[in-house]
Parts: sequence; structure tokens; C-alpha cells
Amino acid sequence: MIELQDVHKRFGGEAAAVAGVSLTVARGEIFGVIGRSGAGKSTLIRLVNLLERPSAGRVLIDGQDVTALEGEGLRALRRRIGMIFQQFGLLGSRSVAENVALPMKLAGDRSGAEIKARVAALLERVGLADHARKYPAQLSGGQKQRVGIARALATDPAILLCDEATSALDPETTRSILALLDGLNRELGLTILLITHEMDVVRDICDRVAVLDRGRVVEIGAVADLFLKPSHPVTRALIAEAEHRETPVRQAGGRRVRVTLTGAAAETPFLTEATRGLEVDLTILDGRIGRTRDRPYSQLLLAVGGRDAEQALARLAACAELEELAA
Amino acid sequence: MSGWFVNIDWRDLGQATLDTLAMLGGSLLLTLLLGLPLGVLLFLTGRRQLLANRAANALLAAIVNLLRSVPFVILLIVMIPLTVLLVGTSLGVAGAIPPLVVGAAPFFARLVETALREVDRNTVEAVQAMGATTRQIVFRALLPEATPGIIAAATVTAAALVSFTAMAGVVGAGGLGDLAIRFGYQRFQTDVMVVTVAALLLLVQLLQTAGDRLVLHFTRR
Ligand SMILES: Nc1ncnc2c1ncn2[C@@H]1O[C@H](COP(=O)(O)OP(=O)(O)O)[C@@H](O)[C@H]1O
Ligand SMILES: [Mg+2]
Repeated sequence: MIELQDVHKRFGGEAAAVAGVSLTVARGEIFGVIGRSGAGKSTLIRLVNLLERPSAGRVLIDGQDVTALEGEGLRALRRRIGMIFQQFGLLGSRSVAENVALPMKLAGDRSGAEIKARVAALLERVGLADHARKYPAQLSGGQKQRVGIARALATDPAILLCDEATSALDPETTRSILALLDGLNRELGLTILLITHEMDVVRDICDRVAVLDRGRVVEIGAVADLFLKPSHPVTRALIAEAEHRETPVRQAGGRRVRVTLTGAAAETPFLTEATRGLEVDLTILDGRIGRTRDRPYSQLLLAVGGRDAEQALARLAACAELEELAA
Repeated sequence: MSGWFVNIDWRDLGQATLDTLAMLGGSLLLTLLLGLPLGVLLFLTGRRQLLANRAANALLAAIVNLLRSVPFVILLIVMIPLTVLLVGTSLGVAGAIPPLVVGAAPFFARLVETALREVDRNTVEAVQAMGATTRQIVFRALLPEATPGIIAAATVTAAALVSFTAMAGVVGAGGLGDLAIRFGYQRFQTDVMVVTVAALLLLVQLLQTAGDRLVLHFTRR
């Protein structure tokens, strides 16, 4: 659906903001790009709808090379791609309904009655049916972003770009906006490319994620894989921040292993199953229990000692991914 | 002198007030008509803006800065040949309008540019991302969003024009400024001076109040 081929973006003489990124976002997927502030995330997402022109490389939308589009071709492309922003980007001089109607009015291909009906339906969908006549200044941050989403969907795009769409919101509002995006993705098959500096956002709604550092993708993969087995230091740091954790841990005798289970297996009583009838000393040194977008996970750091330790480890290895760590 | 206001010819004062209002109205209208597009162009050709163009921006900025740095009294005199060419005379209300516009339009343009810069970048970008043309962005987003700022700019410009019209009185434009100088200053008729200044003050007050109300009306909160 969205394909970036070795895209670069350089502003003037400075170091490149985006330095050779290649990635593909599949149709119907929620793809996250995470990175620290200044990593080049906003520049990257703006390359997709050509708010920024790549200095080199190609941008493909739906298989079509759009890199060189100009004029009406470019504007037609932009109507197929919605975008929402950290600061919402609403017009303060227009009411909520007028904001949502604007993309359709600019496109000029719908009748007034059609626009009116569509505005009502969109506001209903984002839960703002009662706020149509208000002005943005009268809304809370979460409500403003809902207007932003309704407006971004007005021209019925297949792709939605989200530039730090929840970064200005409190955690609870963030969750409700993410739930809305998740629902739209499932209902409409909307392809979403979102950028963020928060690992929580990625964990909660993304299918796949790329980690961006100094304009380069340093790690890319399914969220659970990347989240549970990060390989790049930047990824590790972003996860550690999200979980408010220093590297662990308690001390205990025995062999130290990291046990990772995802999917249905993560919700089984795997510890008792692995130790039933055995003489083992099991100490939990650290643990992460939770869920990514649609996969539960359990990841425990265990110290395993006692006479039957070997056997217990063998049983664990049969049902989980096991990684032995130096004691 | 048997008392206050003895020197005042109320018919002269009435005529002078009308002349000032005519100068102000005519020059303000033309200033807005010329200064608004100039300000929009200054903004659009600026760095990182929609029509970013270094050379065009530098040229516009140079013209605006030049006109703004010439003292208005000098402008009045220097412009006489051009004024005659444009309106056939350098005297009276008509003769005052060209220099007033040339003096005020660059000033207003700069204020418009500043008002446009206050518009949230995200908002402009959002409209751009909808697939708007540059023209649509200007007329459907930038100008409506900057309306309160532009009205405030017009108010400041109108007040500045009031004092410019008074100066134009020196070179034979008539109006309240002319009255103040010919009678109030040159003939030491203090009462004429006081009354004309009071009339000018009242005019500025009215403009400011009207402007403030309009700004409030166009601010949606
Ligand atoms: N229009 C621009 N002109 C010059 N430099 C820019 C521009 N936009 C972004 N940059 C630079 O590119 C780098 C990446 O910025 P950005 O993409 O906004 O990062 P992020 O969104 O990850 O915080 C920064 O160093 C920033 O200063
Ligand atoms: Mg950013």
C-alpha cells in the first residue's frame, strides 16, 4: 500500500533528516515508526503525502510511483491519504462541522446535501454528534483530535497518516483515541501509518513497527518480536522508558533463563505445568506480562535450581522460547 | 481674547473634518486593497512557505523597507510629480491620497505578514494535506484564520493614517491637520489647536473601538 524505496531527505547543508529508508506498509495494517525526537519521524511521514519531497529515492502508493506527482495529480493523491497531527491542525475560525466539511468542499465533487450527511455520519462515528456547531477552542484535546480524525476521513481515504497524534493528550484520552483508530482500521480496513516516540502506543495498536534513529531504520518487525526481543540499543532504551524500569533484578542461585510466550500459550499455567512432580526451586527475578495489539505475552526471567532443574527447563523449552543467560 | 473658542469658525472645522474623513476613507481603502496582497506575497514567498522564493521575497522586502524608512514628510514632497501624474493635482484631498497610500500600504503589508505567521503551521499543513491548491489554502485557510489579526492590523494602520493626514495638511491637503497648523500653530490660536487635536483624538478612539469590536467578533472562542 505504501512503499518507500531508499528515500533520503536533506534540508540544506545539514545532516540528512531521513537517510535511506526502505519500508513497506501492507494494506489494512497499522504500522508504527518510533524514534526519539529529532530522529526524522515527521519528515519521514510527510514524505508519504509529499508535503516533503524526497531528495532521493521513490515513494509508491498502491504500486504507483508518486514521487514526481505535481498539480492535480498530487492533490488527487492527497485526497486518498488522510493525515492527523499532534497539534490537531483545526481551523479555529470554522465550526466542528465546517472543519469536517472542508476537505469535501475543496475537492468539489460532492453536493451540499451529500456533504452534510457525510459530516453528520463522520461526527457520529467519532462520538461528536452533539458538538457539530462548536468551535475548536471550545473542545478538549481529545475532542479536537476526534474532529481531526473525522476530517481526515472525509474524502474517504484508504490511508491515514498520524504524526504524533496522541502526544499532546493525557494517557486516558490517548487510549480512547487509539481505540478509535483501532476500530476504524478493523471496520474500514484503513491502512494506518503512525509515528510516535511512545512505545506504549506501538504496543497497543501497531501490527508492525520500525525503529528510526538519525534518519535510518535500525530495527523493524512484528511488534511482539521487537518488543520482547529488542536487538538495537535505541529500541531497548525506548522500551525501558515505557516500562519505567532499570535493568533488573533480584539475585538467586541456579540457572538463569528468560522464558517468552506469546499468543494463547502465554495465558496457560506454564510454570506449574513445567514443574509438576519435580523438585525444583523457581525464583521469578523479573517479568513482563501484557498484550500487544492482539497477542498476549508473558516474559519471565527465572532462576531455576534444585535436583530436577534440567527436566523443568526441558519442559519449559517445549512450550516456550527459552534463552539461557549467564549466571 | 474674550474667552475660549472665539477663533473657531465652526463651518471651517466641519469642512476640515469632512476633508480628513475623505482622506482617511479613500487612503485606508486603497491601503487595504494594495497592502493585503502585498502582505500575503511577502508571507508566501518567505522561507519554508508555500511559494518560497528567495529573490522575490528579498525584492518585496526591500521595497517595503525602503518605503517604510522614508519619513512621511519627505515622501509627501518627493511624490509630488507622481501624485500630479496620478490624480492631476498634488493639492487637496485627492492630492493627499497617493502619498498616504504609498506611506501606509507597506506598513500594513508587514503587519499582515506578521498576522499570517501567527497562523498555526499544522493548520496550513492539514489543509495542504487535504489536497488544497495554493489559492484555496490562502483564501480558505490562511486569510480566515488570520482575520482577527488582519483587522487589528487595519485598525493600527487606520490610526497611523489619521496622523499622516494631519501631516499631509502641511503641504496643502486641507483637513484637521491643516487647520491645526495654519491657525493653531502659525497664528497662536491655542483653542483651534485644542479643538482640532480633540477631533483627531476622537477619530482615533472611534477607529480603535470599532476595530476592537470587529476583532472580538471574528475571534471564535
Ligand atoms: N523544514 C525543515 N528545514 C530544515 N530542517 C528540518 C526541517 N524539518 C525538519 N528538519 C530537521 O530534520 C531533523 C528531523 O526532524 P523531524 O523529522 O521533525 O524529527 P522528529 O519528528 O523525529 O522529531 C531535525 O534535525 C530537524 O531540525
Ligand atoms: Mg515530529
